[in-house]
Amino acid sequence: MMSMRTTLVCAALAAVLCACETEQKAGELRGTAAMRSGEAIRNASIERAIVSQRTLYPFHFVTGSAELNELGRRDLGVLARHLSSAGGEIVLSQGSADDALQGARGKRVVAVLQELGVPNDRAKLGDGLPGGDGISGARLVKILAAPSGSIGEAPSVTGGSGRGGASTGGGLQ
Amino acid sequence: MRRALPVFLLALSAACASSSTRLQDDPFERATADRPPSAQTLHAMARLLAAQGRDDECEWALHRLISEDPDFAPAYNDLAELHLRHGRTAEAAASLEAGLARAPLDPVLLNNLGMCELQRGAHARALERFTQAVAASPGDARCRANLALALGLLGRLEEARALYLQVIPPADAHHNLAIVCEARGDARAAERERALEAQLRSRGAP
Repeated sequence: MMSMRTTLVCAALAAVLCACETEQKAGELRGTAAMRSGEAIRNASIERAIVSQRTLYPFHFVTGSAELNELGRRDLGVLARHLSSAGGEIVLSQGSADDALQGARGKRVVAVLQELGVPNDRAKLGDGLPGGDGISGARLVKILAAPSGSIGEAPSVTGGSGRGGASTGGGLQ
Repeated sequence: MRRALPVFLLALSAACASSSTRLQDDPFERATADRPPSAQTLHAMARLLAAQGRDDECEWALHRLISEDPDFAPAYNDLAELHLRHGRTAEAAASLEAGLARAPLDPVLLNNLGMCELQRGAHARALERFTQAVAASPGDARCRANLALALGLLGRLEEARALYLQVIPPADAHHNLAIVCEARGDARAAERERALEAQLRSRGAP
């Protein structure tokens, strides 16, 4: 009799504990929800770094071509989203591209920005070089601030951006 | 004793329900959930055989799985892993390419094919695969770091640095670049990266 009572108590406890575990797990992010949440955090962190660098590199383009590859379009989309209201500049790193190819890439970036919804009159290929005359190769694509946006000037890109050969960079700061 | 039985059954069913929820939430289980039972069984069996080191049988199971369910991408990946364990890089790449023919945008297959290309010394082809992998899975830090590695091995250090800085702290980025430079035989660049790393670490950078 005693043994049966003990068994009953143990079984009841087991049932209660199982139910408790199910309840507890239901409150946590699991499975797809947890994966999506993690992915959103990772995406946000990488997007922050892309915006911080504000640079399109040769690896964003099809080799030897002015056409952006899938990654280039995706990263330019991140920059366009960020810069479309406040404005700013996107640096085009030249790498080993010659001047003609670099110029064509600049024009293509402006065109893709327009495809991405940046108005025609607000995305322009800059004449100057970022950081002054001492830095060769890079070109700027300027995105003007939206008229209804901030009153101040469009933020400019200063230093860093991984241009220098021995730069300590300014990625995830 | 007889009265205790329903309570036991209740406990058992609660445990099963909890375990079933867990299985549905597991990414691996979810990927295999919509597979026909034979494919599920074969894949589980292949993984078990791989874990036991019975690679010949595992390979047979994976080939059969692919012939029965050619759209099941993890099988191509598992087969590639098996080939790589035996140093058969060309066969591993062939398996991943076969998988990509069915699932061209699968980031895992693209990334792993990039690794095979790196192992074969085909850095430019690796760069292409890693670029596709990052485009397919932009938030995947591993793919971005691999893309940085391929760029670094091609001597495109500025781009490699920028990509590393997107996914790891600056000191670690310089550490990785130093290793890449050493692999390229560029001792001076490696030394410069090590100095930058040391400078950051001395300031308490992680």
